Amino acid sequence: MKTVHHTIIITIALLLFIFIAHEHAFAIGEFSIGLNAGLTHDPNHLEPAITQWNTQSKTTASDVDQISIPYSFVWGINVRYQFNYFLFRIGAHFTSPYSVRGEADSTRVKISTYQFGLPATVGLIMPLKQRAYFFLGAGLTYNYAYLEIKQTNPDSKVRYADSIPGFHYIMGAEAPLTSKITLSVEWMHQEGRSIPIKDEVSGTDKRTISVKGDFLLFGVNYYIGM
Amino acid sequence: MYYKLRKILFMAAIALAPIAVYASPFNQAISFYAGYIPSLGDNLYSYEQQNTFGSTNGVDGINRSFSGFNTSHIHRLIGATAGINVKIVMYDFFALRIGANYFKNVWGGKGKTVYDDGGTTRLLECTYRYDGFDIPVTFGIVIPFYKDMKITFSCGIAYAWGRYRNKFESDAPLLYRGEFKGHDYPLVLNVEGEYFMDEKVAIATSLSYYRGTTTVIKDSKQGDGNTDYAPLDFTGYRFLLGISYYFKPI
Repeated sequence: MKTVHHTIIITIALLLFIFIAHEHAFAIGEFSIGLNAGLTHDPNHLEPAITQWNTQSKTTASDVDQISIPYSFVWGINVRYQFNYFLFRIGAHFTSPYSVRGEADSTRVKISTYQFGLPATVGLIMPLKQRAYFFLGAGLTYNYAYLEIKQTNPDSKVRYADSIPGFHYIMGAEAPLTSKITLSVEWMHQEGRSIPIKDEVSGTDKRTISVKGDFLLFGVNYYIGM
Repeated sequence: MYYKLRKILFMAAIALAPIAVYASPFNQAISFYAGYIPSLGDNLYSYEQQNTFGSTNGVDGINRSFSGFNTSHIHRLIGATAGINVKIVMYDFFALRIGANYFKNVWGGKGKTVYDDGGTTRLLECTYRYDGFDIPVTFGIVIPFYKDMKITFSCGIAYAWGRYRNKFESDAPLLYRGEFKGHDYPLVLNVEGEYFMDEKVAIATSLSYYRGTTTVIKDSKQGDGNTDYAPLDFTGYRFLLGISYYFKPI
């Protein structure tokens, strides 16, 4: 339920931003909207926990199928407003690895996780040639992270989910396909850690979730109001 | 070996074929790079360091001192790297980069610390080594900057193979040796700047960032009576300097 509320609020905020930005974008500068797709490694920074589980399993169990540190596709949209050398960008991206599983003798572990991010960026953009840009920026990120770990023999289940404030920096380049459409490549590094979150199943255990990670994003952007 | 060489030459021929057409929208460049890698292998964690020597975070936690013991700080590894890159530039703005790099530790990873051997403090000599190679493939955007500069920003993935070796020796007597070999596919980011000295030759600088870690690998070193476990971590930055040659004038 909490997740649904968050998703609705974020979607409305994003649509409002697009609407307001678009309405006022014709005065000066340029406004663009973009679709992104890319790749990330280890969403919600599970690597320390996975390596610990793998090491423990390898040293105690006879038959081990280790948990791989997951890669995950990222999907997102962004809206940008730029004038002179300044860039304002707000984005939304979602990532969830397909399958994160492991097995040690008769014990099976399954991790389900996803992350939703809403980065707001201020940056500098270098207009170089035609519609070719190089840009650098930084800003704050609203994240929502979800983590569920299920285990059999002994059976157990823990679930943590919460909003996590963080920050990010972004670097990117953009080149024209047509006078209004561009292709972009972006790298975003983000940092952020939750306060200890209560396990929603037991209601007692607590753990923190880190959203530290890197996103490689390829995008198609459309410029409006030129 | 001969078959592999033929395969590589065949692939290179395919990559370079578009230059045969002078008016084609493709250009190719070949670059040679050398540079350094701070924190090669990250913290070099292994199970025995945690189990026997009380360090849960590898080289970061192994440094200790104790009165009466002559210890010396064990630093994270700094690596040197060298490699070659082939870049295909398409329609002036888009680039595909394929590289091959070798890397090896050149500084750090050696020193003396102490550990608690069942209530007795003992001196421990530690050695860490790390080497390997990687083949990054990235796709990105080339931005011409004034008349004589280009910035290339690209992202992708690499095949990375690594070998991590460690040795812990005390007067207990105790000797732990570990060797971990494996591969992974880290994410790769590359930013490259080129300054052209003439129409075909450029001085280049490059910053790369890799992110990826293997699962836990079993120690392949036999003979010391111990079996250790460790992941190989390819995460880190690479700072490079080099020279590029473009097959057609820019």
